[in-house]
Amino acid sequence: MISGDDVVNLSRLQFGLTALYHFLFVPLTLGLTFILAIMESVYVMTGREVYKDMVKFWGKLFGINFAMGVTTGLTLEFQFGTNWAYYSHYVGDIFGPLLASEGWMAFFLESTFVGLFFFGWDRLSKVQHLTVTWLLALGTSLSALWILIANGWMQHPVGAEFNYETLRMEMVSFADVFFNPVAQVKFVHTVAAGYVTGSMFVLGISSWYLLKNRDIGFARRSFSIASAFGLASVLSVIVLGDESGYTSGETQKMKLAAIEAEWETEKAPASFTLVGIPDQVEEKTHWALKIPFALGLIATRSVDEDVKGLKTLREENAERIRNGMVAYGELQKLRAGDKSPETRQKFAEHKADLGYGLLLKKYTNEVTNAGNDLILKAANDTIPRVAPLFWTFRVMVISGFTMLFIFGMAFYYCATRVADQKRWLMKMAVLGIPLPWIAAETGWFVAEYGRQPWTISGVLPTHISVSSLSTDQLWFSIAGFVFFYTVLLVIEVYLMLKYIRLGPSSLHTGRYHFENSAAVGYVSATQASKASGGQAFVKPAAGLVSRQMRIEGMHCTGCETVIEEAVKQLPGIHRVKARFAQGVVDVEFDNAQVRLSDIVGAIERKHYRLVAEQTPTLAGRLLNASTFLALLALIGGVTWWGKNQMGVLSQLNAQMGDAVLLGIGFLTGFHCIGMCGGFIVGYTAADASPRQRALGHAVYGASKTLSYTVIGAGFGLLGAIVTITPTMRGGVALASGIFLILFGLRMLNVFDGLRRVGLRMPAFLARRVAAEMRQSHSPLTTGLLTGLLLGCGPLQAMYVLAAGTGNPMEGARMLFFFGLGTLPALLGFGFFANLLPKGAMQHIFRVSGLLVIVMGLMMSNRGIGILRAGANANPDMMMHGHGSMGHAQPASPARLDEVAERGAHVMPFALDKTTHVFSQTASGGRQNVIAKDAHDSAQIELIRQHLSAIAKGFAQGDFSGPLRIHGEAMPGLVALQAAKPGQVRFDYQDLPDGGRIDYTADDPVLVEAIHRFFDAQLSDHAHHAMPGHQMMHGH
Amino acid sequence: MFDYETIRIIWWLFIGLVAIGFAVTEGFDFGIGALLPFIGRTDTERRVIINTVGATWEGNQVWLVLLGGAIFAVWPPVYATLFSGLYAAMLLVLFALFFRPAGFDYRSKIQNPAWREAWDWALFVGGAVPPILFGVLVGNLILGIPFHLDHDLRSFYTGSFFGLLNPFALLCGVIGLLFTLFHGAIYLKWRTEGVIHERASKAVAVFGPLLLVLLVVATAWVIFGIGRPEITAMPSTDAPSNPLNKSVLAVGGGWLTHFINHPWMLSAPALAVGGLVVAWLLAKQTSSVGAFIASSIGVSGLLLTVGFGLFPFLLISSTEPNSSLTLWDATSSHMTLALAFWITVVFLPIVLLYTRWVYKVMWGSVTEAKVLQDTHTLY
Repeated sequence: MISGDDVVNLSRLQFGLTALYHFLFVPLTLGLTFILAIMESVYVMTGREVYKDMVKFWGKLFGINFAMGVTTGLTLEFQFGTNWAYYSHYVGDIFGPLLASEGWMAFFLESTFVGLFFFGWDRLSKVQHLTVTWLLALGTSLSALWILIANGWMQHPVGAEFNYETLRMEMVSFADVFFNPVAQVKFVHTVAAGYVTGSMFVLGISSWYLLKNRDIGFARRSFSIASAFGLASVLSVIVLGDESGYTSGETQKMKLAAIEAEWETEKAPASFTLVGIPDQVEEKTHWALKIPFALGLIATRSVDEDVKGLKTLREENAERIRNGMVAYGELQKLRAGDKSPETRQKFAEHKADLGYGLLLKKYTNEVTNAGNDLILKAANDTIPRVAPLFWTFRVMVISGFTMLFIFGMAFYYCATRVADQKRWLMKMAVLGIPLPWIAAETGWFVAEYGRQPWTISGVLPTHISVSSLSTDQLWFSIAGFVFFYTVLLVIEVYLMLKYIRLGPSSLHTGRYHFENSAAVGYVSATQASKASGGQAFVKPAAGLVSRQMRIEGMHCTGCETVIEEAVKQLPGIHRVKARFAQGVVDVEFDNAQVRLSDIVGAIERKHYRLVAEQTPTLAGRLLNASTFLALLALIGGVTWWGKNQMGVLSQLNAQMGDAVLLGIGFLTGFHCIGMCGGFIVGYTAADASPRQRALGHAVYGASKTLSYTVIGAGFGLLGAIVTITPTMRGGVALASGIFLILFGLRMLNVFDGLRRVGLRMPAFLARRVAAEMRQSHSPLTTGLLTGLLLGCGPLQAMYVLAAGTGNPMEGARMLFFFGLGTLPALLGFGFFANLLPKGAMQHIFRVSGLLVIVMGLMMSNRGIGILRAGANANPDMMMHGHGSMGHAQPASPARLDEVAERGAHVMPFALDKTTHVFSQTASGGRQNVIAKDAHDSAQIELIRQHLSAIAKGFAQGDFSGPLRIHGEAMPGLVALQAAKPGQVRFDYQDLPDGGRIDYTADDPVLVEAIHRFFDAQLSDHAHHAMPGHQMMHGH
Repeated sequence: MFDYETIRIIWWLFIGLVAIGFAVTEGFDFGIGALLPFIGRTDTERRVIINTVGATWEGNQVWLVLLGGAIFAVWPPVYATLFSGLYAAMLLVLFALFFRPAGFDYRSKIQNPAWREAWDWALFVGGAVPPILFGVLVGNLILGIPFHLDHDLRSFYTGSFFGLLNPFALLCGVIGLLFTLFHGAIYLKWRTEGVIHERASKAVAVFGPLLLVLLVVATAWVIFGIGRPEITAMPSTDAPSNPLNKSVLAVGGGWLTHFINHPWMLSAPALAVGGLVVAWLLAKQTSSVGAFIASSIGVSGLLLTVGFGLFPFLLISSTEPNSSLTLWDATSSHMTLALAFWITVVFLPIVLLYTRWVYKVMWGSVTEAKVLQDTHTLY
């Protein structure tokens, strides 16, 4: 075995992260350089200045993007060596020269001419500058050529052979490597995807200018160039995408089968699965909707050839692994000095499969002696995870076809010269800006994730490609990348948006939009947006007037009441209704008696703020869509990954619970900013020194957590008064889950009615608390009162959950961690608010809304699991025969997991490191628990402690352990519980590598109860337990 | 066309050439970045300084990228061992380099003084940290690096990041920084007029002697304080690359003896010292062109001295001398070396030609007047 899984996984994570990040910028560079070259060609041919302005303006945006491309590209060049050292040794002979060629032919070209492109306008003739721009475009595309040849080789390694003297792959034919069909198709597909990205970018932004009626001539010309170039590019992407289906059918059958979730080989011609739910465990696809013949046609270009399914390929791979073992054995002989012709001959015959042999290194160093079980395990590894591939592929395809539609329409209407009348199309183009990035990122994911478990398909497994590093080193680098990349991305997006808003006015030619209205000089982004955003106030008329105002700072129904009360005190108010969910106040008033400014004044005296009415602009929506997606990816990614790190599914333990609570807290923290951020503003005086502020925040944080904890303890106590059964626990978990879901929906703000959901405090109390907090300038009071904000959805869910624990300490612990979790976002409020563009906070709430829903779903699922565990296992669910189990049927997989999960709370030792043997005897039964590893003294000690403790407990009638694991309905348990002390004896004794409890009873009824209890144990612990008389059977 | 042995030597020279290209071009970019906050006092002055390299720094940086790529292509085990072993150091270089593209490109896009000040310091970090770390790297190449190869040729680094920061390597780091400051100041002096020109001249006058003194100290340290391993047995020079097939004696005849045994190698240190001294003197005489050429020759001599000194070693293992990598047993296959050779022979002249053209087009003193005139087109 080579190295820890963690190092491999972290290295993959880091590479994936940095590569996908790099690929945010590369496609735009690829596309924009070509569009710039086209625009400049038009300029040189027509001599019209507007085209020069187009080159310069889109060039500015290109420059902002290019800098990031350079920054992140450097990482990738370093990373093969830093993180994939064995890979670099093993295939450097082929991969290295490709990278070096990229340096000589592409990097120098683009990087040398990019400076001249920006600064050479006055120093070069028109034609010279045009040449420079074309060379720049050529350089970027050449760069793509070389790196995709390198990548194509990883997918389909041709033109190279293993050399046993140097222990690596060596190039035997450069022509084969260069003209690798996979690489060629990949190149055109990827470069064309880049052109699409550039076109969509220009099309969308031009549409935005057109919609805003700005710089029409400039935008219209950009629009037409982008639509034509985009249509041509998107067509080639799709056609070549189909072509790569063909080539991947030839060489990467496994990837294709995974993308299609084709488990079994179908009769030719295979059908194409349109949608379905792939299931890795059962190895089938549920609810598959298929198009007959399509896959066969795409993949084989014939009607009579098979497209192999995953299972068939796995069988073939098992065979190749056996070949690989032979190759490995011969290689060792060769290296030991046996260079006889027979050995060489045999090695040569099998060496094509050497890589398959290396797959076994994940499990054993004795590759040549690997048993059949390991071979099957390794063969199983060759099937990539299907569901992620299946779905990302479909997302890519859908994005591609949507863009085809947009470009098709845009081109058609440009040709018919009515494009600027089609506002729906322009809106669609603006909203479509993120599409090429979605397609590109998912496309890369499919290509690279689908290559697993290989770095070089069939040659070098991923797990032996890594450097000999420690996880600490990887954490250091991942943290560094995440930090620097996040900061840089924020800056990049900020600059990009700033210059997009400014538009061609940023060129200071005096010919564009803002230069007509604004004074000469620099127009800041905020000035620009103010100039473009309209004010919605209508001139006042006498009589009854109704007006809607957008009010910032409402967080709950309490705030609604505060505002309504305040406004009602003014004269001449006919009706007032505040709606916090929409952030608006509707008011109907008599213009003669009261002025609008008085109403605003009354509201603002309560520390709410009137915000200028802005019609939802397309700029806003563009920003919305992209910020939302970016944030979803960022926050969701962090959460998902964090949960994975903590091993949610594998081992649920106490710390894990804390982590989930922290996670929920973290997410709801964003919500708190919206709901309670105003309070923070309340206690931090504007003139406070940074130190005072920090102190205030700290006091607030501490007191808030304290009040949560205390109240949580209170709810725990409340729960303790009522007896908690597993069924109730399940019910409570389910209820809290549903609460969270509803709450998440509320955060999303989609259904108006939902804001009524939730326990409401009596109105007077809500009013008091909210008003008190709003006016309080003491962080301590504010913090302490926060716990009383019972109108807060997630807090309600947490309190309910705390009550469900039935234990004040538990309740306090839960709320403590939850409270802690909310702090980072809440205290980072000021920072976030300054850093993010206006309106982005709203998206953060939405994103966290989505994630709260996900958390809610997970919690509900757990609740349902617990509830189900209480009832008898459904006979229909019994499947997955796991060897002979005596007369006990194994329970359903869900039940097994459920039991294992809960068992982890009750049993201190690891279920998968121990064997539980239940033997039934005439007078009762014998339970042996033995550590699988006889040297694992820690497990043995845990087993002994636990068994002796429960034996003592059982003797005193305490069956809470099995009760918690297996539920009340466990057969035999009731009878055993009912037995009088002494009727059943539980004798504990140490075993050499574990412990034993002897259950003895005289009463045949109790003996029978013990037997049923044992059967239930066997059923519930299927993977870890076995009946006594079949001890040797193992599995 | 060439046999394996010859092409291995050719590639050893080519890598040296690329390293020299990197040191000469990126050297002054780094130096100018590191000098920026000190020589430029006002925003306009700083913009003048940035625009002396604004149009060309990106092309210069490719020499570094190419150096990495070329080592990967022709010495894969060196690339693998060096980058993974010196993990933290390599990542620090990388992180420092992150500041440069954004620094150059984003700094002047916004007129806020705090924003610009922040980016100026970012450019300082991006200019000062890499040469220090590259110097540390060279120092450790001379000392040897604690790594070994296992039976499968997988390399294991057994030192720590702080182990790299030993006194000798740190001295080399300071030399690296001083060279870029010296070289950068000469370039700056060449491309500017007035107050910046004056300040750059002062910087040259200060850094030159300092650099020379430290070089003498380092040389003495190498001769008297550091052992040099020696190969005792190895397969022929055209054998397939496998670093484990040779025996190496941890301490052999010493660095000075090595040079004395091959007297022609002494030309390299002579070039180094001669070049740097002449550069310093010429800079005093206000001949910036001459000074720049001389300091470029000086740094080439410096790199050649290290290369000759190590020859035929590429990477010395301080813990398991037999695992050391040499140019006879750590190269790519014959075919790959030949392929890369032809690509280089064709493209190196082309690259040099168009780079020269770009410099020619962008040449001329950068002045405050020009920078102010082109507020929206220059950095």
